[in-house]
Amino acid sequence: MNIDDFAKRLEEEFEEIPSGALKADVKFRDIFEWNSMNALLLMALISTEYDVNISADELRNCNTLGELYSIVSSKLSE
Amino acid sequence: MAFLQIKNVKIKAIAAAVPDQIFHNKDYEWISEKEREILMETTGIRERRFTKPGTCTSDMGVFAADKLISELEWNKNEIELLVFISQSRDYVLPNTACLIQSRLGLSKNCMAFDIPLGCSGYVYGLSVVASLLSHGNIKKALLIAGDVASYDLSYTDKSAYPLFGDAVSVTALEYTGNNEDVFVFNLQTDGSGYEAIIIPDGGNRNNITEESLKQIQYEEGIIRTRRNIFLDGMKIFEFTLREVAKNIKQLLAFLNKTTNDYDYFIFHQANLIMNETVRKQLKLTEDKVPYSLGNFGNTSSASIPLTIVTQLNQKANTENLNYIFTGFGVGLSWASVSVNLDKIYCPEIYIHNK
Repeated sequence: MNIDDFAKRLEEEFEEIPSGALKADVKFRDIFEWNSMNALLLMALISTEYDVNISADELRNCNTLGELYSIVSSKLSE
Repeated sequence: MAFLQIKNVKIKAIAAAVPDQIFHNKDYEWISEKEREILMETTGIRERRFTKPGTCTSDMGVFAADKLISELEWNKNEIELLVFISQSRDYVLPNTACLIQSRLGLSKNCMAFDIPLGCSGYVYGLSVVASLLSHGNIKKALLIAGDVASYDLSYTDKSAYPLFGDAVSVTALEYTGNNEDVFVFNLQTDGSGYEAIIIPDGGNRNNITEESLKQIQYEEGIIRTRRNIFLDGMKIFEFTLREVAKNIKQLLAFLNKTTNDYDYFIFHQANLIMNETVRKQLKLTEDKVPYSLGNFGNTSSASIPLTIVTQLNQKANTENLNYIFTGFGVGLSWASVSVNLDKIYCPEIYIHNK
């Protein structure tokens, strides 16, 4: 997995994200309506797609796609 | 790890009862129509059943148990164990199971007690009843599990009100003396998460005061008292994703089996997005994971038997099937059981209209 694949997978899951809008330094909460339901969907996607679990606190502390990606990829290599 | 293997006992029958009053989430006017649509899509919960005010879980339980006992043609004197799994008891004390023993006209030679667990309660209840029956002294037992959740809900709390429904289940179990009748459990607890699902006031820790009954606004669309149920959706979700599939995988590893060895996985009916995530974590096909939450919502400890009764009762009556049942939630408490049900008696759902 690389960050581009990760961004692509998220864009597929969340229809409201414009194609190509997710980049490493983009604050993902800014590019589509962020609410608790989307937070749950994101946790669910990461769990089923990559077989790692991120906590609510970890997600809350992430601002950019790059930060989120590095948490997921560090858990993947554990 | 609390693995428990119990032999010589089997489930003879599973029945469930719901009230006749239907509440549809499309009519939940506390939130906008758009919010209602999103809610129904993500939680999967379209409608629930609520009892009439004044009806207790035990009233539905006695109604359903009486019907099941007579349909099974069981002699009431032979029922020597009654366990009532519920968080909505008649009185603070005594245990409701004692009242049910009397109302059902069961013998005085009957053990009867409550286990006040919720979402995990059905599986925990099976572990206790099967364990007590396995000694061989008691031959027949009833496990009554369910809740009238509607008493604890605040209409003005959009994070909890649309999710829950009232229901009760009755499971009849027998001592068979047959070594091949086996239940295998994996039972777990993490009380550090007790605040994720809680009614804060009314126990000894926080006695009821005037403050307990004050309506407090916590967030937009979330107003409740400290006597209403509170859910921390994010924490529950996180817990479910972290623990539930793992619990089932541990059980399968202990049994040296795979998901292919099972016909159905019956999960506690929490909500669709959470349950579907667990299904995908385990790579289960949709046909192996039936749902009752669309019509009944989250029915606490009745959810697993209610799902069998409403979604699988034809098959349960006529086929020999292997199941995993998994309950998870309030406590935090969670548990799975591997069980074979060979042509049990599973009647159509009973409707309680008193």
